[in-house]
Amino acid sequence: MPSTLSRTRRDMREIYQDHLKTVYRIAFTYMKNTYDAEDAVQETFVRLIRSETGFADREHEKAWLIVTVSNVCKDMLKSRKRTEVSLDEQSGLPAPASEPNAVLEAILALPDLYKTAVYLFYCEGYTAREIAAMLGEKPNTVMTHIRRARGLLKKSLGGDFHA
Amino acid sequence: MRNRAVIAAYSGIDLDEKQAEMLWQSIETESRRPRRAETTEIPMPGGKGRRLARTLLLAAALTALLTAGAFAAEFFGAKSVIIPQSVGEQQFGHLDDEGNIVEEDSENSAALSMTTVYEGTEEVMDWQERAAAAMEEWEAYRRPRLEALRESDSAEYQRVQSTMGSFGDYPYFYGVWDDEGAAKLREIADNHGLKLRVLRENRIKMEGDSDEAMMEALSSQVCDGRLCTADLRVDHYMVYETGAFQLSADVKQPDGRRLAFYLCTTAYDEMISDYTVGGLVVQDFTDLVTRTYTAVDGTELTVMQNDHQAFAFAYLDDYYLTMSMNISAWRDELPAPGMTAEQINAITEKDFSLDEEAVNAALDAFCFSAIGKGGAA
Repeated sequence: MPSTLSRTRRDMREIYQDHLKTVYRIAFTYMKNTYDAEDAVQETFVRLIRSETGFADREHEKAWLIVTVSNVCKDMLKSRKRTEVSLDEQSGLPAPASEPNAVLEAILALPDLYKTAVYLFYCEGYTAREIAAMLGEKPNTVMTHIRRARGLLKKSLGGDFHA
Repeated sequence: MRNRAVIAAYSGIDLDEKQAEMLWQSIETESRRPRRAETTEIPMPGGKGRRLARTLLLAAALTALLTAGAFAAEFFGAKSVIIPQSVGEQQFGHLDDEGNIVEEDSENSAALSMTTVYEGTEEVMDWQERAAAAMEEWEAYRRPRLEALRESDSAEYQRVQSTMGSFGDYPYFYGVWDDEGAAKLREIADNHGLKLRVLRENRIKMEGDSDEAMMEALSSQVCDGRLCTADLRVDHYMVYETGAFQLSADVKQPDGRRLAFYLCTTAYDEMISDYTVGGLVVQDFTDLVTRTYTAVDGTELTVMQNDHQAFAFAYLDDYYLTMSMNISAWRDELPAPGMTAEQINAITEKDFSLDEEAVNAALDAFCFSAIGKGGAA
């Protein structure tokens, strides 16, 4: 009996549509511009297509993508040894919506170590334990990262950030 | 500005439909090209050049997966089924209504395993002991092999990393990665008189799938007749060669909220561990109230419940059954691509209180006694 975990190309497109936003947002927080973020997203999904990875369920699938895109970004940043580009020089920043981009700038300025955990905690609603399981960290380490990130955001945003 | 500002800031990071489509096209094109070298040599601290896999965290995650006693389990499973390693002091963090982080320590946290039996008949406990012994033997074989593979830092290790512990139809909690290991795993299981929890079908609800069709497909494999009489919203199910299965779904309550549950059965001769399917995390087990409940179909269940979580278990004829329950974060409307943080927040459930009546009603909807009777099991 063939593995029911194998994916067809149509499945891949559905996976892409389901998780693009999450994968792209994580990529953007690392790469800080649209172009590199898109490269990271492309690399992540290409790896998925090429791999024979089977997933137990949708959460497993999502977690694989989150871990992979985080690593792809870190690898891109290291291998390129690129100098951080100031936010003003970037053309790929999303246009401000209802909130000023000060918050986004503060998020992008967080150490890479904290970025994935912060995104998963605030935006995806994962608990520290779930994030820890996903990233292979201890729950207390994850909580420390989130706590420190919160402190940095407070420092960056001053009185605008109450947590 | 509250922490919702953080969520709102992230919501500004998005691709429009055209960009997303162009990116997909480039992914498709790139995926058809010949593979590039998969690793990059990067000098690491300590002066020793090491091959840095592109997936350092993936390795960490894999290590966690492949290390018995660590998180293992279906750790990427339904969010309610992520488990702690043991009973003991744990730190919990969650967002309050204002989006602020609330941290709490609990000395009384616990995980209620969905496959481990804490008390049972002599036969049941004998199975548990044999399963534990088999898993220990398997780990004693597997760990050194994995360590050697990791040390070799070979392309094979990269492949193993990319599979996240899945191999063929073997669920990843076994941590098999090649035919040799699979053969050994089978040998160990046979020697202990156990069967492997090998996947027969893993079905995730996709666009166009109907809940009814999915439940029919599941029922036809695991029981005689209908598994559930209520209209469920199915997320996914898995069926194993032993006839055991897992079902993630939710059911609408009279007040519009939805009760989410994860149902798991385990054959009494399966090779499993505490972490095979994970368990229900309970922040403070001292507030769990334990009771027995006889469902409409006559099955007697033990129910452990506090004001927002419930865990039920029963000894069926051929399977150990567990079911974790809580109120779903979503009612009828689910988050959809393109929704803003505010829109998502607006449809997020605010009331997670769970009472006995809701739990009993959910249990009454199932035909537990039909499980393992007929079907393809």
